[in-house]
Amino acid sequence: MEQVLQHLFSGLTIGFIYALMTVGLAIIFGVMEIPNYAHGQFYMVGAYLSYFMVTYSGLNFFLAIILSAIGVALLGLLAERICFRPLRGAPLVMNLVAAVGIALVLENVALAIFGFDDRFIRTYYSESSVGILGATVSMHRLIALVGSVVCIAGLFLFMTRMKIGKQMLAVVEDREAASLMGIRINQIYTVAFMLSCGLAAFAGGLIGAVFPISTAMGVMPTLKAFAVIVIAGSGNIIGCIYGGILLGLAEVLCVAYISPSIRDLFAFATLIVVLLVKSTLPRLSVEK
Amino acid sequence: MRKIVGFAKTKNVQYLILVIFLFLFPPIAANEYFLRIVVSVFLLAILALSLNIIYGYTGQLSFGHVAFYCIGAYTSTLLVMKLGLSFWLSLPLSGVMAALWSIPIGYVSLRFKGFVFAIVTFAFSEVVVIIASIWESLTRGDYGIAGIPRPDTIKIGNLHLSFESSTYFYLLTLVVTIIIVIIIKWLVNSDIGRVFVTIRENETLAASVGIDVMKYKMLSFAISALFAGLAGSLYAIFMQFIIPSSFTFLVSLDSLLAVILGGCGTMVGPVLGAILLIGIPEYLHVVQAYRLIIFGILLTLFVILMPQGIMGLVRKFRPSPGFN
Repeated sequence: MEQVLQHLFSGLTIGFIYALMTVGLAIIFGVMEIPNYAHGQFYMVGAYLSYFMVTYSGLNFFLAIILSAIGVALLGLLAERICFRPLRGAPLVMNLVAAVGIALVLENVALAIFGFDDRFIRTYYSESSVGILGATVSMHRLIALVGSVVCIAGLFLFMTRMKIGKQMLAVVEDREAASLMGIRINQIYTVAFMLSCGLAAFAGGLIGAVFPISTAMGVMPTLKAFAVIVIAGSGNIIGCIYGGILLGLAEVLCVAYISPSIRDLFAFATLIVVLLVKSTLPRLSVEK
Repeated sequence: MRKIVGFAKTKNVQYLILVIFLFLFPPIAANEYFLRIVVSVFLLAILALSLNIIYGYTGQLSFGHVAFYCIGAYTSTLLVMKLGLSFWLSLPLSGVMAALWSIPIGYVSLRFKGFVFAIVTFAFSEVVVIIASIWESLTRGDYGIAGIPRPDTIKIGNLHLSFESSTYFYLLTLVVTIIIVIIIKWLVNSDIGRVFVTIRENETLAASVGIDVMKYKMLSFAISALFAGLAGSLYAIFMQFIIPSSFTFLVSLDSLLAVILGGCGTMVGPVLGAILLIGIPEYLHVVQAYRLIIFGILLTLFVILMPQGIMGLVRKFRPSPGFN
């Protein structure tokens, strides 16, 4: 029983981190139709920034994560203004190539500064753990779980209560109609990009205390996040959050009870099967 | 004299001169390292040309092209090393194998359009590569297969072509590339090629004039997989070592970049793209530490400045005769 709880905790932690990644990517994809391949690199930069601030200037871990999220959001602002704004209205693949360019730059700058060695965020409570219902959870893992839950709750409030959040959802729903209603699209684009990059960096900082940080850490989560977005259907931001959480849980349970080597196979095979079922179901109902 | 100049200006002669130059190239270059780079340019060019069939001509954005590259590489290697087949037989068979596997993959993924198709093909490519890494009894998994033998020597009369040196390897990939270019050129100018372009331009219209869209999409996917499989086979025999981790998404991305940079839906585009994509980082070796940073900046600048690819820019300054 304790073991099951333990796995559930790690699954939820990874799931909520995936959810943060996915929701950020889904916002950019929904609002601007940019397949932002560089999303994982913003996540990686967030992790390194937190690591740098905690390790070299002895900053408080929480403060470091928030500062790195703000820093990466500004980086995102720069990317949006310099690269994606001139490409407005260009086909999807052009945005993809620009994003790949940004990803290459970020990844190799990080490589030039930090090298190939993995890094770890260490705080004075790194070694401590907490007992919850008989399961032992390391302090950093708990912080990552609570932090991402709080962040997603905040995002919910932002999307449903604040004017600009509602406007963003309206743009995801229908860009033309939203702009006709007097929503300033340019402003929404900028806010969406900054928000998405900030979320990625926040997730990166949180996960950087649980798993080792490396320059390639963002590639796989981004690709999986794309898979989740496709399953949920683009524009379905709430669905992306659930999808991310489920994916994290499923992966941890797969590693624990089936085999670690098929973890990624499981994720992508599920994607194919779910999409197949989804695409055949309506046809069945029509035939009936 | 004017006649000769005029003759030299016709396209076929220009191509002939280019081909002759390419065949005489190794003695001129005479540099093992440089030849190996050119061979990898050819491999990427074949991959990009094959992707161009499904993406550039048929308009289906595939993120999973590496799946067929991987299938081709493993098929060829296993046929040679486990069954003792000659490479000259396993090279075409690896293409056939990739095309066969494209049928179930295409059957599932081609019912989706646009970005969803891209992600589903990507998922399939991951599944293929993961299977290659966990099926240890067949593929040796993550240890990889080393010591893949060179192709058998060809004897034509007194001529012995052995593939120990990079020169003959260069010639082999050159010949395969030229054959593939000729086949694709013939294909896109045939009725089938026109159907592909119709599907790219307007799928609904294509269906309304009686084209079986799904059938032709699958045909396009299978042809594209066939050539990708050939590229994989050549890659395996060239590197003499294959491992699942070298068949990542980055390979699909590279071939896609080559198509987009060169100009999709053109014959020359993917080849130019492949030259740039390998050439620029190689050229930037002088600034080793920063070369990929510079390359990333160039890539981003490139799409902002040349959204139609290089061939789009060429066309802008030299409109095709049809428009004059």
